[in-house]
Order: sequence, then structure tokens, then C-alpha cells
Amino acid sequence: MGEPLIQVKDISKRFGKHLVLNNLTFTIDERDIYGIIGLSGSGKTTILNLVIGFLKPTKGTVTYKNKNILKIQKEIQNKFGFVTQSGSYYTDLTVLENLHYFGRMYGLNNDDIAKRSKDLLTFLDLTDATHVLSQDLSTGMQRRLDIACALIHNPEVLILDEPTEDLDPLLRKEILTLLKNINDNGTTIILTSHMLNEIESVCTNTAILHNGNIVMSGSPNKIKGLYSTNIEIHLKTYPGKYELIENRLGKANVEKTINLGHKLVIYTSKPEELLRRILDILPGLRERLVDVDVDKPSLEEVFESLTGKKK
Amino acid sequence: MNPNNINPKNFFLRLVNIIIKDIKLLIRSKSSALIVILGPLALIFLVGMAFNTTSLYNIKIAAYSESYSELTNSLIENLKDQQYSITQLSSEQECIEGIKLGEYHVCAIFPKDMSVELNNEMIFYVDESRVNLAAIVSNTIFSKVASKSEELSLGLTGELLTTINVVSEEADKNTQQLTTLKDEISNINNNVKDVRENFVGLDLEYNSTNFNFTKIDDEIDEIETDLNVSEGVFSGLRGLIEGTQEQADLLGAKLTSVETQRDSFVSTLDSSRNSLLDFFGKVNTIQSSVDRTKNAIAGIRVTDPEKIVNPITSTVKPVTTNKTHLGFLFPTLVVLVIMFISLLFSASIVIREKRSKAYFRNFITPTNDFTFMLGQFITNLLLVIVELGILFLVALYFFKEELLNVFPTLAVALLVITTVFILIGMFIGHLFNSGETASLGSIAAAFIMLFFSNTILPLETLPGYVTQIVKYNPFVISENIIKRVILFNASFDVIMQPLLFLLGGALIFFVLAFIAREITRRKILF
Repeated sequence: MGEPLIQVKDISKRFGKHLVLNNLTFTIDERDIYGIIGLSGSGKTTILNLVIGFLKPTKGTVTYKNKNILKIQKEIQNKFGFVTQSGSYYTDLTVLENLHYFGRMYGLNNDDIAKRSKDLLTFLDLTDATHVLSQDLSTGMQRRLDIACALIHNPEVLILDEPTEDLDPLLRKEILTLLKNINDNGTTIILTSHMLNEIESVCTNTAILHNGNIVMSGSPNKIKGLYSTNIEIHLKTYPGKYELIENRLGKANVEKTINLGHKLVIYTSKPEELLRRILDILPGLRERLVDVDVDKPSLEEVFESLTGKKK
Repeated sequence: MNPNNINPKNFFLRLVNIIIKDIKLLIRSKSSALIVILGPLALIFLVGMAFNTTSLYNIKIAAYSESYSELTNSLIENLKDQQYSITQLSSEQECIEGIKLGEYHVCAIFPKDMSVELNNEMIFYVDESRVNLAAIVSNTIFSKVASKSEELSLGLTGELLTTINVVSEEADKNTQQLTTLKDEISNINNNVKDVRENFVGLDLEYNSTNFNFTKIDDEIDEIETDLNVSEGVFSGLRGLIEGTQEQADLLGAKLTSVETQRDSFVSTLDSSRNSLLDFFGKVNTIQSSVDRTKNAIAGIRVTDPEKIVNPITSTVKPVTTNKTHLGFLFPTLVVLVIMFISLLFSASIVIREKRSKAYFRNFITPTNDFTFMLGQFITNLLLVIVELGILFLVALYFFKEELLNVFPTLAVALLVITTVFILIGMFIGHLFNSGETASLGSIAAAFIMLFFSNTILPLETLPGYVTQIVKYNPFVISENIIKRVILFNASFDVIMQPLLFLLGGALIFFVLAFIAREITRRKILF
């Protein structure tokens, strides 16, 4: 492993009397998809703004390739792309006009803008919407346009602030797939989210942010392994009277149950014993076993145990 | 691809792109585009229609008098001729209430049975809260009344002068008669004097001793003795002599009486002479008085009633050829349009950009803040130029020659003025975070500049220290520049100093806008 691409070292940020970030330290490697998880208002956006140098830290440094980002702002602006939570493009300009405008603001010439726009429109599946006003695009297309605007200058690092916020599950999946594809093309990605499952699904590394501190960082699997002793049992039965099953199981060896309607998720430290009990009680409840899956716990549970708050 | 390559061409291309983007955004907002084109067109059209006149119209006057005389009616008719609407009311209170309620502009109270011989004090009530109108209406109405008053004065003065002429002529005649009278008195005096002298010269002395009747008697005695005649011989003679003696005594007595009477006459004559002299003196005094009156009348240098009523005539001559309200108003109107459009447009464009989703992305591109600000400034400038173009195209209909003659100077002045107001607007835009507050801020700024200018009230009505501050008001300076250029054909030399001052102001506001942009950039994150 070589030098990290980005190093955040002992960084603190204070707005007036309010300490938003307290002595954070983490590193991001090249080609990482680095996820920052935290509750709303935990300082996720502030970290991103510190990383691009839009905000100056109260204490500490952020380095890019071992260079203080505040001293290489022009380089950072040219090497980093940023996707904001609410999108950052002109709604009264067409898709192509937005790309052309921001391409010019990044100092690209006409040929580069034309070539890069064409590639991005194809890559992000926006070709049919080239001349459509941004405000007339669907939510998913708008999010893709925002990513296109952030990628117009072909940055090495793409930063996304809650990229799947307010999207339906399908669009969320689409965006996450897109991010993986972008990462596959060699772009390092830093994203924030409070949706733990999506971080878990795409991120190679994660930091859990709570009360201005990073309470845990590392790969999702590593974190899950370190911070959870429970096992998840995903149970699907027919006709699916999960409330009756929950009642019959009682509290013995059951840490927690989540009735998702179409399945029941049971957390337990003794999965074998509980599985036997489940198989015993199902016939009495006239429930037929459709599917059962045993897995390690999700990042959500880890987050809950680390922060004491349920997402 | 070399994004780091920052060169003038790149800078220019970025600038052009920012301007094109801003104009596209503006055009795509239908209401904004409509305002840009129709706003100034409607403004100049309406103002042109409204102010292209020299008179006041539709001024409502309320009149009241306890008793309307011929003179009162004549005054009212005089005002009616001037296209004022006059309503005669039944009480003074009603008249004053009408002003308070805004039903009338002026309440004129005429004295009872107004006539030239009696008290003619007219009272006007005006609503001073309508500052501008009150002054104009007062001046206009007063001038109409003054005109009638002058007409009456002329008549009265004419009568007076005619009377003085008659007096003068009579005095001339009287002077001659007085001279004659004096001569006659002098003659009489001389005559009296002569008579007196003659009287005094009369010898009325009677001496009875001169008639020595005793000696005659003695001689008769001697003769009788000599003749030895008896005493009776000459008794007849003696009787005659005695009779003569008696007559002589009688004559002596009469002469004495005459002398007494003569002395009395002389005394009377002396008294008469004194009276004559006294009379002469009085006639002399009268003559002197008449002479002084004549001299006084002759000393009246001005005998033309017109000149007596108006010994000093004043004529206010315009230094411009413009005669309509619009002509005088046009420079103010131009600056007003520039100020409002520049402030509102630039503030709203800045706010629109700040509130735009793309604002943040602009900040994180390698294009510097100066380029963005310059781009915004040029966009605003182009918009105002379009607006002014429309405004001046319409204005050419009213003042073709005036504008074409001064076009180069005017263009430069307008450019500088527009620059200042755009930068003030940009500063306000960067200072506030919402469209509403920015609009409010720019309108407030515009109104403050408007209120502390000559447009609402003359600056001279403000306290000295306020005037000292207000003279730096960009609106005041701009208005003066445009007035000088359009109305007085001022050259560059004349307007150079205020133009440089405005440029200094523009620089300050650019710096302030830049600082405000930097200060408020953090707020876009939250």
C-alpha cells in the first residue's frame, strides 16, 4: 500500500461556539469509495467542504498527495468534482448548456467540452435529454446531470454529499451502480450518507461519524465483525403471520425482531438453537417455511451499537 | 486538456460564457424578459404623455365668501379661464375640510363684499403635506390673483395720476393769479402809501393868533379915538370882525377836527397797509406752497402707471430651449430609470445566482471570483444599455436634436452612472440572502437616494449638515451631470470632476460587493 491519496489529520471545525468536528483523522486511498456515515447534522457535509478546501479547518490539515489542499486550491479545483445533496446546476439551462458552461468554467476548450460532454451523456445515459431544460428532467436524470457536471473536467476525486437522498429504491440502486462504474474508471469517490445499507453495498472503506468524532473507520465487513456478536436470521413463511411467530418465539435468545411485512428479521447470538425453535413452532402456527437466510449483522446494527441511536 | 492554462483568451471566453449564461437565464424567465423590454417603453411613454406640457391641469379650487362682490366674481372668472375647476362652498369650514379630505387643492377665502375700496385680504388654504403640489399650486394661484390685483392697481394709479395732473394744472393757474394778486396788493399798498403821504403832507394847522382880531379891535379903538367917534360908529364893523373871528374860530375848530380825522385816517391807512403787507405775506406763502406742490408734482419722475405699479420688472429667462415639464424632467427621469433598473436588476441577478443550485459549483471551479463578478456586471450593463436604448429611442421622438447633439458626452456619462448603480445593486445583492430582502434593500436604497435629492424637495430645504452629506448622493451627482449635458450641452471638461467622483464610488462599491460576496459565501452551505 502506498501513500494515501487524501489525509485528514487532527482536523477540527468550529462555527462560532459550536464545535462541529473534533480532531478527526482518517485517510482515503486512491480508487477508494469512501463512505462517511452519520446522522443529519453530524458534520458530514462540513468534512466534504474541508476536503475540497471550501472551508478552512479551525485546526488540523487536509492533504492531497501529501500537499496541503489550502495551498493547492487551483489543483484541487481541477482534480476534484463535487456533487451536492440538492444538485448544483442551472435549472433554466439545458443539459448540454450546463455541461458546456461548467466545462468552460473549468477552463476546457470547445473541443474538450464537446468530447467530454458526449462521453458523459452516453455514460450517464442522458443523450436523449441533451437539449432538455434541467428543470424538466426526472429526479434520477437530474442527479445524473449533477454527477455529469462534477465529472466534466474528468476529476481524480469525486465527492458526493448524500447522493441517494430523496431517491426511490430503484433510482438509489441506479446511482450506486453508476458510482461503482465511475470508480471502475479510476475515480476515487468520497460520499456521505445516512443510509447504511447503501454505504455497505458500495463503499470499500467507511467512517462512522458521531458527535463530531469518527467513532469507527475501516471496511464495512471489518467494522461489522468487530462491533457485532449477533447474527441475522431472515425468515420468509406463508401465509406470513409474522406477529404470531414473534409472539411464539418470545424473548429467549432473541435480541430483537424486525417485521418487514414480507419477511421477519431476527437478531440472535445463538442462531442454531433459534432456528430449531422456529422449525418447531411453524407447523403449530400453520405457517409454511418459504425461505430462511442466516447472515452477519448489517452496518445499521453496528451504527446503532456505536452511537446508541437507531437510524 | 489543460485546465490550468489561464490566459487572457481563456479569461475572455469564461467571461463571455458567464454573460451568455446570465442572458439565457434572464430570457428564459419570461417575466424578466418582458420587464426588460416593456418596462422602460411603458415608463417613458406614460411619462412622456403625462409631462409633455407646460401647464397645471385639473387643479380643484374651493372658494368661499360671505358675500360675493363683482370683484370676487371677476377673480373667480379669471381663475376659471385658466382651466381650474372652481367650486363655491357655503362656509369657510367646509372649504378647509375639503382641503383636509383632499377634495380640493386650494381653498380661497374672499373677503365679504370685496372691493378695491375695502379690505381685500384673501386667504388661501393649501395642504402643505402635499409639499410639491402645494408650492406649485400656491405659486400659480397667487400669480393669477396677483395679476388681477395688478390690473386693479393700474386702474387706481391711473386715477391718482390724473388727479395729480389736474392739481398740477390748477396750481399753474393759481400761481399766475397769485402773482397778479400780489402785484395788485403791492399797487394798493403803494396807493395807500401815497394817500397816506398826501394825507400826512396836508397842512391843517390853524393858528388863531394869525387872526389878530384884538389888534383889529384895538386899531378900531384907535381909529375911533383918532376919529373921535363914538364907539357905536364902528359897531357894525366890529360886529363883522367878531363874526369873522367866530368863523375863524369855527374854521380853526374844524381844521383841528380834520387834522384829528386825518391822523385817524393815516392810522387807518397804516393799519391797512400792515394788513396788506400781511396779506401779501400770506399770498406769498400760498404761492410758495403752490410752487412747492408744483415742484413736488414736477418732481415725480415716473408718471407711467405701469411703472408705478411695477417699478421693478423681473423676467426669468430660461437658459434652455426646453419648455415642457418633460424637457426639464427628462434628465431626472433618465437617472431615475437607470437607478431603479440597475439596482433592482443587479441585485436580483446576484440573488438569483446566489439562490441558484449552481452557485456552489461556480465557487469550486478554478474560475476566480473577479471573473464571475465582472461577468455579472457586464450582463447587468448590457441589460441597462438595452433598456436605455429603448428609452432613448422613444425619447428621440420628443427631443431628437437635443439628444443627438450631445450623444457622445451623454453616452460616456450614462455608462459611468450605470456602472455606479449596478455596483451598488450588486453590493446589495451580495449583502442579502433572499430575493425579497434584496429587492427591499435595493428599493430602499433607491428611495433614500431619491428622497435626498432635488426631485422631491430642493436640497436647499435640508439642514446644512445633511446637505453636505447629500451632495455625495450618486443620484444627485448623476442628475446634475445629465442635466448639464442634455439641457446645457455641457462638455466633458465640465462634467469630468463629478464623473471621476462617480468612478471612485464605483470602485468602492465593487470592493464592497467583492467583500460581501466573500463574507456571505459560507452561508450557501447551510
